[in-house]
Amino acid sequence: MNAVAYNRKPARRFRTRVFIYLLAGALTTSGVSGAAFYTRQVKFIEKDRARRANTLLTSLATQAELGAYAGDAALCDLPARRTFREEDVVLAGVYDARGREILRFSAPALGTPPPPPMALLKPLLHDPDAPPMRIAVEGWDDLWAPIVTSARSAAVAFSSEPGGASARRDVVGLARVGLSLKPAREQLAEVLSTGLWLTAFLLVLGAAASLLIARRISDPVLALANGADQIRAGNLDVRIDVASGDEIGLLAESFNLMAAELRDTMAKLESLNRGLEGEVSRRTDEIRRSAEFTQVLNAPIGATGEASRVADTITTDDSSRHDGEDLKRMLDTACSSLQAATGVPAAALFLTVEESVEFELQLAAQSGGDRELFGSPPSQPQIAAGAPLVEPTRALVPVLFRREPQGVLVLVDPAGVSPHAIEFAARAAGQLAIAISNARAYAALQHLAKELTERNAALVNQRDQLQEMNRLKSEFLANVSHELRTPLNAILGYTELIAEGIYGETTGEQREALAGVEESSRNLLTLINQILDLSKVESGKVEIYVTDVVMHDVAQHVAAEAQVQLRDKPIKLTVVAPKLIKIKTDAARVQQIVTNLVSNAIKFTDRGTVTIQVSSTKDGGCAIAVRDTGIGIRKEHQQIIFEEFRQIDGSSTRRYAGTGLGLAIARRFAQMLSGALTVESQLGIGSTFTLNLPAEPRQPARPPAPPPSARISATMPAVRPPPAAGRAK
Amino acid sequence: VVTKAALVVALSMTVPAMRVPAHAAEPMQVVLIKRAGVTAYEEVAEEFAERCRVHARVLSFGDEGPRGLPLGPDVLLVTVGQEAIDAVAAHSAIGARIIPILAFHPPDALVGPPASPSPELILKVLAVARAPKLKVVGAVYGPRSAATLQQAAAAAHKLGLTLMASRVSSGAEAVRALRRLGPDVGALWLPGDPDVITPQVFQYALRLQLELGLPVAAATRQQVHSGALVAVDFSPRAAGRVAADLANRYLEGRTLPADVEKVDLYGGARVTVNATVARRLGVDVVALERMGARVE
Repeated sequence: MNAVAYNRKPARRFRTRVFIYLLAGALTTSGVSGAAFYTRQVKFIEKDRARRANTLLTSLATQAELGAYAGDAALCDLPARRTFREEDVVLAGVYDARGREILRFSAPALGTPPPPPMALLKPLLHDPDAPPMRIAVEGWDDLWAPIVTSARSAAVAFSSEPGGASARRDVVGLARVGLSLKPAREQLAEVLSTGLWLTAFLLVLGAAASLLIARRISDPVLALANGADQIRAGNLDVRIDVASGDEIGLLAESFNLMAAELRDTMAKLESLNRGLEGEVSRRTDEIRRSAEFTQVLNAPIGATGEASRVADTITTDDSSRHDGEDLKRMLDTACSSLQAATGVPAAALFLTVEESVEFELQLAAQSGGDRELFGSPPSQPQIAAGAPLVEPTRALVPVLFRREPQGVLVLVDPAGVSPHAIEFAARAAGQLAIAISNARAYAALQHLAKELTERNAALVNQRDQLQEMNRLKSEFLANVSHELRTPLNAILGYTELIAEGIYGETTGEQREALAGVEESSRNLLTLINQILDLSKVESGKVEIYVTDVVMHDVAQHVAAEAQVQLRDKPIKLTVVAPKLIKIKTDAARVQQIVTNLVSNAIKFTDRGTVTIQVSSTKDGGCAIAVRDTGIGIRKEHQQIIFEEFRQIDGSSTRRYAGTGLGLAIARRFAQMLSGALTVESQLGIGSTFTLNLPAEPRQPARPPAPPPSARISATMPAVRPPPAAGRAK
Repeated sequence: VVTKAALVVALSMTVPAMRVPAHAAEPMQVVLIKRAGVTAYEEVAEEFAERCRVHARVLSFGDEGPRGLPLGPDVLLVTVGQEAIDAVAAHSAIGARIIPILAFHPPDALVGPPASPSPELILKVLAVARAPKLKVVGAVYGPRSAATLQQAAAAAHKLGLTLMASRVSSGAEAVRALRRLGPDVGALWLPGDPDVITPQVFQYALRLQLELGLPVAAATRQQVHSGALVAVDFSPRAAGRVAADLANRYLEGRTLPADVEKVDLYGGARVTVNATVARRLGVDVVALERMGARVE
């Protein structure tokens, strides 16, 4: 290892900066300390001087109390002289209660200092508790204080009672002391000198300490910097020789440890790199072979598109359906690739063939060996475990897709299958499982599609048959109705002729029989007409002819037709229809609907009124309400009446005759006109049937082309009923 | 002070002190006036109140002087001390009868018990205390004590002593006089004249006693306790007893004696010696004790 020499010289030296900082700190500290020392000493001297002045004044005032009281200079002499003897006292004097001088000692240099004006002394003469007064004079302080004595009463004084009456204190004079400033100034000069010397000493000491500290700090730091440089240059054998036990030393030690660890790490890294290159090479080869294997797996299915055959191949053991040559080729190629990639002498693939819950493994492909060489396939639990089974001469790798066994790969090597081969086979098994699963799922999908196609074809066939049957039924009904109505019209015609006597006189009995024939024939004709209408509606043969229709005319026309029914009943038929209401609709169909409604109203009303009321609606259409005071309809029966061949009273002894088709046909016609037929009724009170029609039908005016049956019936001549024929329900 | 004394004299002239009042049979109000806070005066008042035949009201006052002073011919005032008689005089208590208890009585003015014994006894005590060295006794006095000093001068002569007395008018003057007398005398006598013997004078006398070794004879026993060597005075209770006797006489309509001292109501003066000072000055205490002195 190489010890680091301090040979770097930075542009701005750390040592110099540290030295400057520390020196500035030392200078500041020294200056502040000196200033603080001087200030403190000055205050101390001033306080001491004030205390001394107070002491001298108090002492003089106390000692000269009797002298001032008596105004006797002799009594004041001793205390004043004693005070004057003090070194810093340049004047000592005693003055009486009027401020007149009793005695004074003063330095010759002062001459005869005049006393201050009485105005200044008055506070002292009148207040025994007045503080000493200081008058600044050039070179000395002129200090004054009151001389106070107690003025106890004579009786108290003679009795000398300690707890007697409180003594009054009187100012009997003034004590004066002149205190020279010279000693104080000398003291200040001495303090200043001492402070300066102290500051200078601290400064020098601080500079030396700063230099020393800067060196102690910067040298190890420089060593660390140089060491870092050498490490950066690649010299990991460097060692920083800093022997101090402080934080810098710890840092250097950490630095050395870091360099050593870095060196070891670099060595390990080189070793790892070497191993990694071999591993990368091996892995690359494996990836390449795996890619080839994957390509093999993907090729047959994508290339041929014969998925169903592939699926058949891998989902059944039916040898007769083993015509999936693509899958066979793929599996064989996969086995060959697997054998080549793993380097084993032989490889095979067994696939599961499901037999209810259990499954059986069968050989699907092999490469490089006979069937016997691969031995018996593993059991189901062994495959379900998912882990490769390694035997001395072979390895069994389960092929699982979402934990569902799909098969097993068998690698055979008399020298033992290598771990790399097993690992590769395990990865290949994953891909193979996906491919097999996809093929099986695709096959299932194809089967399902095929079944759906077949079912759809059957359904289409059934639909066509039903349509044909329906057409035949409608055609049959139309034909039957037509063929029945034609002779029925002949019967009615001849019956009327006979009744009118065209063929000779008839007796009363004959006429009654003829009337019965006519009535039954008309009922039958009505039934046939309604069946014919219904069949027309269902077969789409009804045509709508839209014109401008004045609803007032329709209502009046219906009312006129209904007069025949009203002949034998005490019923008043009323029409309420404004003439201005006009919509686009089929007048004949509307009239047919309203006629049916009015006919029913009259039929189910014994007495009272039947009203036809026409009104306009908000959408521009109109509403035709037929209101009666008849028997009414129960709530639960109000929808039944619109169904074909349904009557409320279906018994054989019913009171009101009818086919049960009138309202059904009326509702169909209303729907064809884009309208609606509704009922409101109360049992025993009456009913109101309302036909709502739009301003114009939403459906095309003419229906679409009629079905074949309609085309057929259209060729037949239509037989119109005679005008007298009713269309009651 | 002089003015007050003159006023007292003038007042006393208006009072037929020696005769029984015409309305002696009428009940009289007896009031004792004294300064408050002086133990000796308290003793006087107690003794007087006990011995007076009627209830005596005690009126004490402070620096501000007495207030609510009773006036009129049916009032008998007993004043204790100079301040009390001065206050009564200042208040122009015309018509009242006054029995003063004073150290120095104005001549032929008021009849009352004296508060200080004869100067002869004092000088005798000093002579014994400084025997045989004492030749000259120094003293300061004021106008009020001038008569007493005349008696003292005669007594000194009789005892073979010289009395150097300085008449002064104030305490300050008394201090200066003492300073002048100090070197020339063997002892100092401070009579109980409060006009000139101020606390400062007493203090300076003690200082001379200390610095020059001059025995100081003071006026009261309390002054001995404050540092004077010796004092000769009457007992306060004796003064109260005498005053009560005089008051009782007056209340009975009897004539007051012209010379109370001759009645010898006091039972003798008392001599008090400060043992510490005596030891420091080398005073023969035993000789003083033989005279009846009490060493404290």
